[in-house]
Amino acid sequence: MIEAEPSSPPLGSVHWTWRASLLVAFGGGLIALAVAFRDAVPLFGGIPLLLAPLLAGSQGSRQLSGADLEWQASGLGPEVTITGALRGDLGSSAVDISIDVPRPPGATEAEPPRLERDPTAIRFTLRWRLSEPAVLTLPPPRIVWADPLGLTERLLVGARPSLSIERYPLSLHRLGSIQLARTTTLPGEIRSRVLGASGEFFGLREAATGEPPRMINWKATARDGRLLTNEYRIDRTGDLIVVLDVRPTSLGPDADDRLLAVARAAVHGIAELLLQEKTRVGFASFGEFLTTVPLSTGRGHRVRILRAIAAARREEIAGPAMRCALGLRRFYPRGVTMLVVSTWTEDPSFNLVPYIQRQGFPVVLLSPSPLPIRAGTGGLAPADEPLAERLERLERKVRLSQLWVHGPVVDWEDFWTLDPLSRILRRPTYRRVS
Amino acid sequence: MNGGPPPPGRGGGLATTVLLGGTACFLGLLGGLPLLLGPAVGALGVTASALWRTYGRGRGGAVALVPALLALVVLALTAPVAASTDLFAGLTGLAFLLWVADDPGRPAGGGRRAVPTIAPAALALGLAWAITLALAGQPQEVGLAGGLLAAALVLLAVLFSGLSRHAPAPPPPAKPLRQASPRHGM
Repeated sequence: MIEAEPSSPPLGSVHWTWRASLLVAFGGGLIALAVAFRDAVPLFGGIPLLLAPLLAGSQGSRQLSGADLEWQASGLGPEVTITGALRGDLGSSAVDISIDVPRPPGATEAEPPRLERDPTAIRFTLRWRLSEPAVLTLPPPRIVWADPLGLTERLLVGARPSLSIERYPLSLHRLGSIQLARTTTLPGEIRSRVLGASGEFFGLREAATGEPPRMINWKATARDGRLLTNEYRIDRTGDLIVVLDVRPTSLGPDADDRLLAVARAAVHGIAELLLQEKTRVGFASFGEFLTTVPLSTGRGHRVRILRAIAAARREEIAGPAMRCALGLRRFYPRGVTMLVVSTWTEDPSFNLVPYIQRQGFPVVLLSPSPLPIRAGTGGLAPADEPLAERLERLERKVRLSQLWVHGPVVDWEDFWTLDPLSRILRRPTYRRVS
Repeated sequence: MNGGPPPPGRGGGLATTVLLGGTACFLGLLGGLPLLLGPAVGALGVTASALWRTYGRGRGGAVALVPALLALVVLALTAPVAASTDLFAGLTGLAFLLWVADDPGRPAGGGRRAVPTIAPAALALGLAWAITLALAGQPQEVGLAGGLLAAALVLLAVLFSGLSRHAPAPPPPAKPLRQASPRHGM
């Protein structure tokens, strides 16, 4: 859905498998020896071997060549259930068709795949378990007809959509109810008109102390017997810029890629949920240089921002933190809440938070912890692992605690929950620079 | 992913392994190797292939055919020219194809389902053997005749597969003619 559609392989051609090549080689060899030695016995042994691949190929060309695939992903949290059906006039050859669904890294098989075949469709169910939150695009599966001897294969043509799997932390949906601070005007909006209520009606809420009388919905108040005020959709919108740190760290490319995949899934979920609530969201990724998507809202912006998140990859060269902060100051208005997603395991000058905060942005740091990924990879004895893990956790806590002077920090260790982040974003004091 | 219930009439591969082993051992008995060496070569090749197929998967599964094929080559080359050895060399080849089809690792396989592929090969073999019997006594000429016959059959199979593959696709459905909309205000 977000990543570019993978190119589909060449379709429809019949080709021999390794088995067929072996049979042809041995059959041809036997016939050649028979002719060379004027001996009929190898000839009789070679005829079936040589003919079988050719006959299997001619059968393959007569079989069906088209079937359409429909599939979808469902499930909650780490559980992924993929159900699909391959439809077409399959007839008796349904049993000869195999569907190879590539399992992404980080997914384990929760149950063996189930297949039901009938002359018009092959229905399949796959159950996987993801180790971490992820936003994946599964390429179309390879659907192949093979003859009963396994000598020839043929790729089947037809509709082959790719499948998007989005698994966010389970508690992410609670972020939708958070009211972020509005710091800038909407395009075309005039400041003076925002003094009163405007925009689309959203709902009623209980009047707060000091609420101006014109905000009170008097009819609703009379019906309910308590003071109720109108709430407008525009009042609920806010601004948030998500900064994704894609610089290389000392953890190494594999751990970096895995943590970045988790961070991408979280950022993807946060951006999508907040955009649904009409909040304006901006996105920036910083590797060697800063790449930005401006602050905006709407469906077009959603596509743009999700594409940018999906395209964010670990970069080979790390740019200085100051460059990121100055770039953000150039592209975004001062005072917008910044959510920085960074592993940060390096020296203090590597950390983005102080530099961004000094440019006038209130910063919240969401730091995916490398500890769950690195657990058990240090080559230590099983008895020493808990102690090493405890020491690493303490060291990380000490490092992250030094950042609290610049803004709140979320040490994100359980990747399937973002409750600490939503708790922090709910506190209004963290959203503005004092 | 190629699971699901196996097709009807599907065995576990044991029957075809026994059949292949039996024909290979008998070809070894008829062959030119010392008395017990021929059957031993046949049995060894088939056993090695069966074990390899059971415990080696993926591309290694295709290579599992090699020991049985090598045994067939050795037995066919050492066998003296006779109607019985010709017949059993061909039968061993057919049994080998049945064994290939009955791979337990391929749910879509099965000897019964492979009959449309194996039957024409068996027919060609039967024809060649019948001609050999009819022209008994001149092995060189029989060999040449058999070779020519096999070549003709191969050519036929190639032509047949090529014709089926390049069959013209049905034309796309014609688009309905668009009706001219009436114009107003001329």
